[in-house]
Amino acid sequence: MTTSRPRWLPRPGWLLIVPAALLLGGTLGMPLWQSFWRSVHTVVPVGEPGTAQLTLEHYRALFTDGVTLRVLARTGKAAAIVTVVALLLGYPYAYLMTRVGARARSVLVVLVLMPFWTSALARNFGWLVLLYDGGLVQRFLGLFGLGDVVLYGTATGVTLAMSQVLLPYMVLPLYSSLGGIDRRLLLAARSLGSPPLVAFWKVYWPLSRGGVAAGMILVFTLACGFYVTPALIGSPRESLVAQLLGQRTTQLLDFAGAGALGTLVLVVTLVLVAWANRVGGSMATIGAGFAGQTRSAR
Amino acid sequence: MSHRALPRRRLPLRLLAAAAALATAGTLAACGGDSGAGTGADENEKVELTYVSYGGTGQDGMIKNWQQPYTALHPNVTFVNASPPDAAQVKAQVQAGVVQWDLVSTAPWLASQNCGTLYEKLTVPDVDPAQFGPGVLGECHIPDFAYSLVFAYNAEKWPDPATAPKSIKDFFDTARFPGKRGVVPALQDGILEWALMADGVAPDQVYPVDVPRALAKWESIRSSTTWAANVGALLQLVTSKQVDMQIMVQARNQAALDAGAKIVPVWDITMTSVDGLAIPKGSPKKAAAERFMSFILKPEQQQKISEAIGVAPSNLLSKPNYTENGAKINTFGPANTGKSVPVDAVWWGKNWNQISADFTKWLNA
Repeated sequence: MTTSRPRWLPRPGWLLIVPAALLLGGTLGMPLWQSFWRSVHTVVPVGEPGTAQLTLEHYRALFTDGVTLRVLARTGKAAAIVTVVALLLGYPYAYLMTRVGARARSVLVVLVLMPFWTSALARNFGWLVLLYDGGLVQRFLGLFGLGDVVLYGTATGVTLAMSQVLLPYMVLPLYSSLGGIDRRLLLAARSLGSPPLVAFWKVYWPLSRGGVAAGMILVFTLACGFYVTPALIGSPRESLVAQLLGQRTTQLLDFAGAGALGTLVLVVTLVLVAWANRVGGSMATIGAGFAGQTRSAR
Repeated sequence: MSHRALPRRRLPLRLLAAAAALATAGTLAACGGDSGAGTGADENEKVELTYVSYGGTGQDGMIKNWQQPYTALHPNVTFVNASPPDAAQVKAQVQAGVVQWDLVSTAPWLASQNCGTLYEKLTVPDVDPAQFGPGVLGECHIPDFAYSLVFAYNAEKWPDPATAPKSIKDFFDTARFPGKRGVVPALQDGILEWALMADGVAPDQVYPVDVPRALAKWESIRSSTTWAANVGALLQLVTSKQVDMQIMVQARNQAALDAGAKIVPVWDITMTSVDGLAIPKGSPKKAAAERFMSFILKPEQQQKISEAIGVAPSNLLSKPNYTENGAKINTFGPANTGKSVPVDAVWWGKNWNQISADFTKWLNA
């Protein structure tokens, strides 16, 4: 500890992130910047002379084309439903994971991780088969007199499939968060005369809010960008924003318009995340949640 | 191998640019389409052509019936295959000045729209225009095969031919023929033209397409129509009898018949189209690619591909031997007692972007 380094030299520890920073900068930062740059400049056709001028025309078009806002709203709604469904399913599941023995817990972890280990295509085609008219899900619903619910080619079917695919992103941060809660606090509440439900609501739930926020942010942002599931299971009549982006890029070759739409989605998502962050607790809980750190009650 | 030009923009960190250059160079090196061969400008020079199509059984058929026989005839020409033929990739390659694809499947309207900018203008040797239908040979694409969309109905729903649908008007007539309709919302297949002709527009008057009128016609059966996400999804709807009539690609109708679906084609007016094969602008192997194009336009190669993957030949001299089911739904054969109308790719190239936007808006309304 006697070697001194010049003050301007960063701490050697920072060198650890250089490989990751280079990779992200090259494969994510640069393309992202290019997309944004294109979205605020006029289009110069390939092979023609001319310099691109600054313009907001591509953004203006998004708000006036009569379809983008509608699809954005639809995407937000679908993502919100998926998030709530994942929370309702994931919270009790994660809670159970904290209450069982080591062996049962590993089984529960494997179950929830299964979608990660399955190819995205196999998963989506699996849902395709299940959701077809006359398929397993519809026949099951038929037992309860809901046989004419159409799932294939509808937003309902897409929401169902997305909820399953995204469930792990809810369960894992929740599990880390719930696992870190000191259960003796509940005992203390009970010993002071609190009924179980009140103890849960006043003590346990507030302590778990960080994990809830982390899970909801993860699921919501991922759901906003889903492409394969709506493209395979959904209908062209009920496009989500990723399908619109795909169409703009691969069919219309409108890189500038696609860049504008992508930027808009990114900004909307970041704003929502910032808002959820304020409402639900610290953004750091995403990281802390995964690390399984114990937090004290606020 | 040339490297991708970095955008000339000021960046706060030079590191970023260096990282991108490294990453790009690595990717390009890994793709390696050149492997020591020449450009094939000279007929006997060794050349490797990168051929990009839709993959699956279709591209397998192209490999077996076009590429392998061609390499047998010209051992200096070999092929590398890739898929999918994403036009955005073509644009990215052309813009960056790193064209790695030599032959790419392309919708004719797209080749027409970007002719000379994204795709090379073609001078294919030894092609007799008299052997092709009007408007089929494009300035920037060749018709590597033809296909059509066929209106067919489920015979279990309408068993008596006397009272079954007989014209495309009946597809849009839910009062006389109640039931579910299935269609893929693909403008390039002429679905707006279908609607106009059902509305009484004469086949030679459909261009320019009256978009509001066509959409109003579709609107009239919106609640009875299932818009399938792709052809595979539509085929599934047909074979599981979730639609009672459909407008579907010829080859998939054969698949439906083969799967036991009791579908009957209605030979009234049929829209026909071709698949395009194009050369991205700036491909150094253009001459070699054009000689291969000339080969696959010959009647024999057109017959082989048609029999192999259930499409139709673009060369009029080619007479494929279809299976019984294949002949039943062949728009280009004697089974078709109606009229065929080709999709006008040049017109669509000029009008695609606006109409596509209008159509997406209508579809999502």
